[in-house]
Amino acid sequence: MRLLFASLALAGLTFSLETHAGEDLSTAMRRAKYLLNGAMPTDAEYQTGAVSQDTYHRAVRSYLEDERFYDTLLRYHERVFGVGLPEDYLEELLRSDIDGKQEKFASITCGRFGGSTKRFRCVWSSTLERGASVGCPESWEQPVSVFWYPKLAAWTCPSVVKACGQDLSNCFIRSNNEGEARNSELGTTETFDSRYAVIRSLGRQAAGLATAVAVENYPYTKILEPGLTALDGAIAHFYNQKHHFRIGELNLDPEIVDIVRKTSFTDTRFRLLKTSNYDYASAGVMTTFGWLRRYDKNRTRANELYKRLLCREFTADLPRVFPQDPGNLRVAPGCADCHSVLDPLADFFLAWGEGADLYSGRQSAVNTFFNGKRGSSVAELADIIRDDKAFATCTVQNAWGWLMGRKFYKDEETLRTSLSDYFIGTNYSFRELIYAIATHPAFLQGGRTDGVVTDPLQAPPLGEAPSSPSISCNRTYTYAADIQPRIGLCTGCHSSASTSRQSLTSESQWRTWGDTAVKMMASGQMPPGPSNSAVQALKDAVYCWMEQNP
Amino acid sequence: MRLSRLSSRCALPRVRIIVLLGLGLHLSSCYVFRKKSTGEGGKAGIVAPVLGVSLGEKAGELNEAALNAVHAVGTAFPPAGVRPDPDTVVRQLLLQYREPGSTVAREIGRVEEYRMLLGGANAMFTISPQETYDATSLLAELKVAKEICGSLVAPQRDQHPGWQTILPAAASDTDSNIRFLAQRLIGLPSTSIDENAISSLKAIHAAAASDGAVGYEAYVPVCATLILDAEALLL
Repeated sequence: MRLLFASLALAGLTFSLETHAGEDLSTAMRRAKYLLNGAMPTDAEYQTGAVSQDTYHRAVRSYLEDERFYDTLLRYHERVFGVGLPEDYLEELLRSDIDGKQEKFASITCGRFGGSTKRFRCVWSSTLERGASVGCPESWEQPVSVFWYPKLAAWTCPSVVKACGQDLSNCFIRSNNEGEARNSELGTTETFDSRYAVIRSLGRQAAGLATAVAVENYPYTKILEPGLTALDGAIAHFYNQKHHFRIGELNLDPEIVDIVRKTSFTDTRFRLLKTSNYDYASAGVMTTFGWLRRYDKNRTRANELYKRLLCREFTADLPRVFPQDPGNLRVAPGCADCHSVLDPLADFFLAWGEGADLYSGRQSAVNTFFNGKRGSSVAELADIIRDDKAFATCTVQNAWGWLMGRKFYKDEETLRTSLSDYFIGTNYSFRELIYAIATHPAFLQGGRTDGVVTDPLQAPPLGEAPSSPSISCNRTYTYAADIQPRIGLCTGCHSSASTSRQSLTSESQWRTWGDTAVKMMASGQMPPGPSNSAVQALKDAVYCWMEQNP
Repeated sequence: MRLSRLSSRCALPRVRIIVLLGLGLHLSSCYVFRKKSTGEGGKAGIVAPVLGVSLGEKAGELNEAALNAVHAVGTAFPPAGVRPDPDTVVRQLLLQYREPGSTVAREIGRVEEYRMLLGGANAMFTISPQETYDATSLLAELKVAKEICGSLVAPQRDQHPGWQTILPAAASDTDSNIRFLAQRLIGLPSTSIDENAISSLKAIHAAAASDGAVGYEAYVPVCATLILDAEALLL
């Protein structure tokens, strides 16, 4: 910051850091609109929005409903998750041959060959590389509507259409204008290159999933939902390239590939895709290709989720001298402080390979633990994380940092707690969390600090269960009338015959396990599959019954 | 310079005017101009429905009573200044006025080489976007501002086909155009923008015009100055 002041002073562009106590709706509105929509308010918007708190609140609500909120939220999640991929990661998945003959790629190159006024053509890349003509006489070429920009008519030879389909989506596209293709957004321009579009979308997949969950106002706990992924047109196009890439080695649920085949390739925004199977190796953002490949070692995956989803850091006093062979890090002095937590947490990811072996197939389930809870898969790790209030608190911290430009001060613990409780109380509505912060009196203050928080609030504590959303128990609840008729939602798995799951068939068992069941239903972890009003009704009934019969 | 009324109590020092004039002269160059076009976002179904099986119930809606309780928990600490994201600031600025497409992609490509100097992230986010400025990022901002301002206020037919200036009035109407630019680029209400600042921006425009800048081209240094204003650098 000091450098900034120095630079501005050199340029003659000094500004005041004086704090203007009190509310400044114009300043707050400018910040809210820019951060949520990426644009500045106009004079007309100020005249209607910065009049009173009510009009300001309406303005913020309109920003959350604006289509540009998707874009700013996507970027927010990219920064929070820190996930992105360089282009060469795509090459790991390239097939070197498709039928035993090397270099037989179904690639086509598209562009306006010979000048911008020429017609847009797509030709076999191999013919261009050989310096041959573009493949067939011009009179044979036929126009097709291409999947990446349907309003464009691309002229191409019959052999290309036959192999690549009427929209060319079955082939990998190269652009003859790579510079422009790198900065082009799918669906906005005729210039398209599969390499850049696909790797950019794969890198953003975790951010896209979380963004779609938040924009569609699903509970934010769904970002860790087993069986949930997100895709846009570029990823759908990629999944369709089995002859070009080793798609099978991505451990995709076959249901995903089936669904992708029936979807549009022109989606420029990520949309959610949920499979019907309960996939134990899947946990929303943590098992997207981008996350697993970017954080390519199990310890790194554990470390990053600890930091980015729970806002906690592994820190310890390092030994003055590192032993050459410390042995088991989980118990070695100087190492155990971190590794006794980090390594068991990393073991949850053993179902996936590391580094370029990511594609080597799944291993068997593990028996490990985190935060005092045992589990055997990434899906169970996701449940442990979602079932801890630290996840909600960390989400609040991240959103607060984005909008306020600073961390919480130590003195703001009550505020952080009340925001976390509100977030949980809205069943993890990220949209309402943003609204709550952007309309908070602190956000409306006209003054600005330099963002250096010298006494920050400590990391969210682990081990606290999210408090149940406020339920009004305004009548008497009984086991026989309110719970027993609904337990069929659970007894399919939690039956008395089950040897691996706790039975939930009797009143006494519900008395013992009801509290845990309420938390798991509240956070969307149980029962597996989509939550619905019947699950919510059972959860509320169990909660009230236990409150009234402690 | 801080253009808002908040700091208008201090007169603009002469040295600052000289620097701004210098900046204006530095940014003068030859541009062809066209007429204005603007674009704004709107409401829409932002994300398509879930594919596959249902994802279950949505999260809750606004709970006014609970929210009032949250807002009742106060704090003595104001927000910190926020730097617009160096990776997206150019795209966001262009998309306020231009339809996404080839010309936007090419324009972004022209300043892409400055993105890391601006403080942008690398592909893998091992380098995080800078949240403050240093001398390097400010100098890069100057270079980028010059390029982007050209495309906004004085687009060239060969580089920006179909684009017109975003300025609302004829090139001779400096008062309207400068007030418009100040409001749009600083983002504050026009009534909060200091008259002294408008005067110094007019001086920059006049200096550029006398240096040979023609028509809308003389607004490029004005625009770049505004992008580099403290109010625009930190929200």
